[in-house]
Amino acid sequence: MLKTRTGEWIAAVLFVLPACALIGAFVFWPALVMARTSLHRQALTSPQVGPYIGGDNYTALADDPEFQRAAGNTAFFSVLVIPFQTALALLLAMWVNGPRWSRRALRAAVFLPTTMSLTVLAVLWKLLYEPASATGAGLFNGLLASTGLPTQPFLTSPHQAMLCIVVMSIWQGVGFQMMILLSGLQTIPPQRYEAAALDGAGRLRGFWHVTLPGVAPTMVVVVLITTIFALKLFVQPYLMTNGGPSESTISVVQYIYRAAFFQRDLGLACAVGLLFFIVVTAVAIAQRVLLRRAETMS
Amino acid sequence: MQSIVRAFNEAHASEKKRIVVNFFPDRQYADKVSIAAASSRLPDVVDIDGPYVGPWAAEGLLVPIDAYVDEKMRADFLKTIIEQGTYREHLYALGAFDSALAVYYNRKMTDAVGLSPPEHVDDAWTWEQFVDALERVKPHAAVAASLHMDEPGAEWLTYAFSPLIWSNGGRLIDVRDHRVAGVLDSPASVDAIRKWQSLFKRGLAEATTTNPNPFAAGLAAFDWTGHWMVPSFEAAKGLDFGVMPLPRVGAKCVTASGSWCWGISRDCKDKALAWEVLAWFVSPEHGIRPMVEANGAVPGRPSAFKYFPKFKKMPYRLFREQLEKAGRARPRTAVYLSLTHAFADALRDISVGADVKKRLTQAANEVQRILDRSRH
Amino acid sequence: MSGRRVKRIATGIAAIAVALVFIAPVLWMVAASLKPEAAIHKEVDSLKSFVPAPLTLKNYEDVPRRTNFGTVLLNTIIVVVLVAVGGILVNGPAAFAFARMKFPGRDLVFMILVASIVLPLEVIVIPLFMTVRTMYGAVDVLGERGWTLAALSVPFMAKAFNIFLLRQHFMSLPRSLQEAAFLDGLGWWGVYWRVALPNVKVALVTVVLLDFVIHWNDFLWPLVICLSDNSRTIQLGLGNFFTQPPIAWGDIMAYAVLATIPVMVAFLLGQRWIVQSVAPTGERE
Repeated sequence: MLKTRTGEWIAAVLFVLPACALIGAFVFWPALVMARTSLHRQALTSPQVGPYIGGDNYTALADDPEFQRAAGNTAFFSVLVIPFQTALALLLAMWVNGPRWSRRALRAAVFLPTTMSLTVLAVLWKLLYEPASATGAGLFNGLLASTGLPTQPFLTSPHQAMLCIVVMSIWQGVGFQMMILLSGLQTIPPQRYEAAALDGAGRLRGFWHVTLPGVAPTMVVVVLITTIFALKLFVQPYLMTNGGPSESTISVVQYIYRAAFFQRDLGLACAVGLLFFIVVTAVAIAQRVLLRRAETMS
Repeated sequence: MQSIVRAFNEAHASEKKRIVVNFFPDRQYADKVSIAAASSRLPDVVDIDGPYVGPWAAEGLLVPIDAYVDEKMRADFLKTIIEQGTYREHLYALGAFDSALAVYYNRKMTDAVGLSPPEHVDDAWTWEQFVDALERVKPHAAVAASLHMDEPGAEWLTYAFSPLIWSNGGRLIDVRDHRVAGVLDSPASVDAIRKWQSLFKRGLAEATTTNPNPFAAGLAAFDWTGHWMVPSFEAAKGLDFGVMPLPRVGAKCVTASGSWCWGISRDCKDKALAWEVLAWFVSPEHGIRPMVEANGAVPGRPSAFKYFPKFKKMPYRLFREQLEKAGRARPRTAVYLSLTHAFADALRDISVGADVKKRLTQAANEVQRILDRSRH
Repeated sequence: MSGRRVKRIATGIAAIAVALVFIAPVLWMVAASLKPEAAIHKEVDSLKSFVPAPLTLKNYEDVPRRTNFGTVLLNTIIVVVLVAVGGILVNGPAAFAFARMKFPGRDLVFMILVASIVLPLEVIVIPLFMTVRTMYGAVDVLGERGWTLAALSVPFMAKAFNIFLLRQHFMSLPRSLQEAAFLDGLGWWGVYWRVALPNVKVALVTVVLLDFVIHWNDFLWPLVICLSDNSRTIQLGLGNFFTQPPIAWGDIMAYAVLATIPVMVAFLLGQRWIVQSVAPTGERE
């Protein structure tokens, strides 16, 4: 009986329902709640939805220098992390692509920080970056001092703090990207390199005409993942700098957190969330378009 | 805590009254109580960190308890406890204990330069005397004064350095008129914070420090910190330390106060019973005695000091005297969390050289904007 | 020495140097966790920093003494197990239906689900918090800790990415397997449970491992939803311990090492499977 068309339908619905219900309740429903709340005044502890206030939350954002800094910082972080991390990941992937033990060891080493939690690493790097003072120093400054180089304020300087977070984040994340790119590299048939070599192409040309087009689709995926990772920056500034100094590291997600739990204004937090949602969607759509082009390229 | 509850349940077994311990959010997560608040399921009696009394009372999460506290009972609380629990003329919370902020000194170092720090609030050093003392001990210590600028979060900075502004006659916020702009950056505040900044400019304190406890390690001559550090100082080998009141910037010495306290929630059905529980938690014998024995804070009621003879001797004697004579609670306001973060961020920037007036004004305007938004 | 030999040695040295850049901070963490506090601060300007001497386990004794590490560890394990087990129960059948069954609207529903893959939790964290807290009533049954653990796990059981991944693997199974099962008189559930599922073990292991790593390491959601110190997860416990006076680097590093070991072990055990099963889907996408 179950082999009939209707039987299959009923069974399929039962199979699909639990997952769809959960994703609906915990992804799509919240997205709708977010859109609605962003147009209302809603205090953190209030059981009722507050009054409709139109675009007030959005105009408040436009006027808020803290939000502008958060958006600017997140953009700055992304603009540095996305190209550098991707380029470094590709270099490393090409380097470690091979069966020799030293390459596999290097691969494991680079991948190591990726397996660790951002919380652990943020805490660790906070200590490593500690400034030098009469009473002590972090490892980096300790080593700088012992080699006679000038010590640095690192996280305590508004000019260096974000760069410190960028370095730490690339260090942490590059292994993951490297692994994905590695799997992309390994799908390139060796014959293509041989063909290119026959044509008298040097290594650089080989990279340009074989490697790059070959990994282009993987590259697009990697860039998308890195972009979203960069945009959702939170744990590092939350634990390492608390957004400071001079709000030089406060990120958009941290702003959302503060709007909700310090300002106790859920409407404002949801308004930022919705803007963030639009950016992520735009990035995802751009990725689909690029992917299609990259696939025709390879 | 569990034992206090058990004692209550045993003492009230015949009346069928029982306390069920729900949850005790700590400082970092206290705002998550909104989960319970939004579904009208707050516990009957709630434990709150002092500065949260303002936001909670403003949002209607707490009910006033004035009616239960008669004059006699009220008089048997430290005035800082009453102040901390009061929001717009009404009492919302009572604490079993309070905290104390003081300046510790390394006796070996102060003796070496012939300093004799004061032992009573009324003899507190002026700011100039304090700076002079720091200049004199500076050659004998890695750092003259440890101010714990490495403490994460906002609350330490607000707690520790608001007293300078208060002592100078300034305020963080005008609660009555809902004003921060022109208050947090008033001439009195700016003057007090400029004096504070001079400690860093003169190299008497470190704006960025790594060692979390330089005083215990014998590296700092003075340590600006709370009562909670005493055990670690007592345990430190070879450290002979004394305690003095905070120096005064203006005419009077003012010091900080504040700790966890108890209130009755909006969602409580039987308020009288809740009060009975609350009264048990803050009663000298059943609440304060076991709690203070466990956490080493300052008892919140004068009548409870009889259980703690150590408050007759230094350094504890000074803790009590300070709270009674010079203690002040942080402001109770709906926007306290934004205020404390803006203020602490400003202090951090000022410690590394930001312009005091400009930076305080920026912080004041930021909070004013949030305050204005929250009011309509 | 031939030129090639020199070059090989040079790249070898370069490889070691790069590897050290990635490993050294982690080594320092382990070393610091095994040293007395005073030694950590004193040796910070020399390579002795990386040597755990004088060796002590005091920091590791301090962690359970100063924090509720046992509770927090248990919470994290419970959450991760709930997500993984619940995940298999809901994602598996859905993935199978999308791969092998015909029903109206299948492709549309699947497309909508897949579209949500790129949406990070961070975007919807506040509305999700608002949604989940409307279910706070369940606290009467579950208790505060139970409620929090449920709030930490149930919203993440169903995952579009996991459905997507499992579907790819179900689709690669030969149809003949399924036909044979029907001839044996099995219904759809039987086909799924007895025939299809056992044949995608690699993908299952991957999905479980990914869930394990993601939720073991998560910080933001626990930060938003955990009500008290007894319902915290391990990362949140570390984030809190990190700021809890008296601050001692050795203790913090010991906590960090303890929080890392389980996930490291999981990765070592499962890394091969993850690469095996994610790689083909990357091509197909």
